Amino acid sequence: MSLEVITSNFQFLIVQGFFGLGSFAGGTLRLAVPAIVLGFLLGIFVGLARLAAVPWIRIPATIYVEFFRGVPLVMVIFWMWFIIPQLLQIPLPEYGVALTAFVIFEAAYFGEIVRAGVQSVSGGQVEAARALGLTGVQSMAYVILPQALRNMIPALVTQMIVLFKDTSLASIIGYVDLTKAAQIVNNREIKPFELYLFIAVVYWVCTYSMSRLARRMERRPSPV
Amino acid sequence: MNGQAIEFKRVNKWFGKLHVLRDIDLSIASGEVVVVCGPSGSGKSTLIRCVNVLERIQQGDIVVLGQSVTVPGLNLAKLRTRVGMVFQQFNLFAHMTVLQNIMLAPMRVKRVSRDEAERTARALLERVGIPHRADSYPANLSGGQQQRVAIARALAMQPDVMLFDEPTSALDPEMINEVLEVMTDLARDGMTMMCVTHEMGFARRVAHRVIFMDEGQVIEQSEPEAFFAAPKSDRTKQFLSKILSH
Ligand SMILES: Nc1ncnc2c1ncn2[C@@H]1O[C@H](COP(=O)(O)OP(=O)(O)OP(=O)(O)O)[C@@H](O)[C@H]1O
Ligand SMILES: [Mg+2]
Repeated sequence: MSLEVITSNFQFLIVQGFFGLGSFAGGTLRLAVPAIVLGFLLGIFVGLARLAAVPWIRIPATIYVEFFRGVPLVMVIFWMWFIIPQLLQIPLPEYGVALTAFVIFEAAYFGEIVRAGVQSVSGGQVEAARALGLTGVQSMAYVILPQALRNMIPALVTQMIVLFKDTSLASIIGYVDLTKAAQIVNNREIKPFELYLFIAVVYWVCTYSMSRLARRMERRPSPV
Repeated sequence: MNGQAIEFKRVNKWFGKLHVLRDIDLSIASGEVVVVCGPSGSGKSTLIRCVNVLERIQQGDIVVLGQSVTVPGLNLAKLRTRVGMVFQQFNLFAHMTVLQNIMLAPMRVKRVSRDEAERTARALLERVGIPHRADSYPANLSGGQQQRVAIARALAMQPDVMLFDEPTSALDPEMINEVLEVMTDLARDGMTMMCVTHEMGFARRVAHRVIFMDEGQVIEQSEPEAFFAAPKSDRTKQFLSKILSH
């Protein structure tokens, strides 16, 4: 085994395929980071909507969650890639398609995590907040969400890791992420063992750092 | 202040089909300390939770500090800043220090400056006897300390009325007194208080009036002396013989 194939293609694999820097549309991180952030933010709304007292907010949110949890991610990506451009009569870039698909899909999972997290905070906390005159929104912002987020950390990080790895699926529509970059290099140089071992290490280092960081946050005595 | 702090006017409340408050007529004067007692499930908690509208009533009206709780568009936050509440389970915000617990509502609801909120909070901790625990988290306090913080947190809003729902029921016996002492001081300072409690010693020493509830009704109310010495109804007698025999 020689690492020559890695070093000679390092720029392409890491700078472009992994980070997504440079003058082309690609990159694992460039897709994963906004997908995680936006998916989680949308997930907060979905999760809170699932808990809404009014049915016309709760029921659509429930349908949303049940639908996207029930279909494969690949299918959602294909939907965005083939069907939406036809409906809109405009071509969409791979990056936009992949990001939108991930955000929409993952928000369903993040939403369920948020819902469970909010429900894990005891009703007494809300009552105490309301009894002090805080509004519903203030109670949510200052009392429930900070505690819920803390309780959510393990499930949240697991989901972020899943999402991070799932970005490799974007390669099926031609998006050049780390996996696709390795594939391109392999087609040229036929060094599958070195290349796929290398990208496995890159993925693993990232996900392992995420779970270590999460464990540190959980242990932190003082809260948010 | 004088006049009525809380008036219940033919109040009825149901949970589904369960009729939990039946034709409650009751007035509590400013500065008065009232103890509410009665068997489990008689509606005591529901009664006081209706005062700060944690529960809604279906019939009748409650006027709290001159404000009817049934008017449409009621400013709940404003009403609740004037009515403090202390819960059986303390319900301190678990992710905040003692000081942050006390400062939250004054800063967010009353828009008091951080400095002023902190000054008030520290003074209140002094008053409830735990100034040294300002930076602790609730989980690291004893039950008695937690409940005293909860009282300080309610007082930080400078309420005109305080509601207590079995504030000592979740406490180990040796911690009950430290909480009752704080409540006694508060009563001596002239706070209007409505306390659901089975601490009959406290009722005897501090209350101006004791109310006995059963099955959603006020069965009997009188001054503590008369209440304990000569209860009028049989149900009150039964209840008293049970809890005083402990
Ligand atoms: N949110 C609710 N939904 C339905 N029923 C309720 C609810 N809260 C209380 N109840 C019922 O209403 C009745 C009165 O309850 P409440 O809590 O006011 O009694 P209590 O006198 O405070 O009893 P305890 O001494 O056990 O605290 C009980 O039968 C109780 O089961
Ligand atoms: Mg009760």
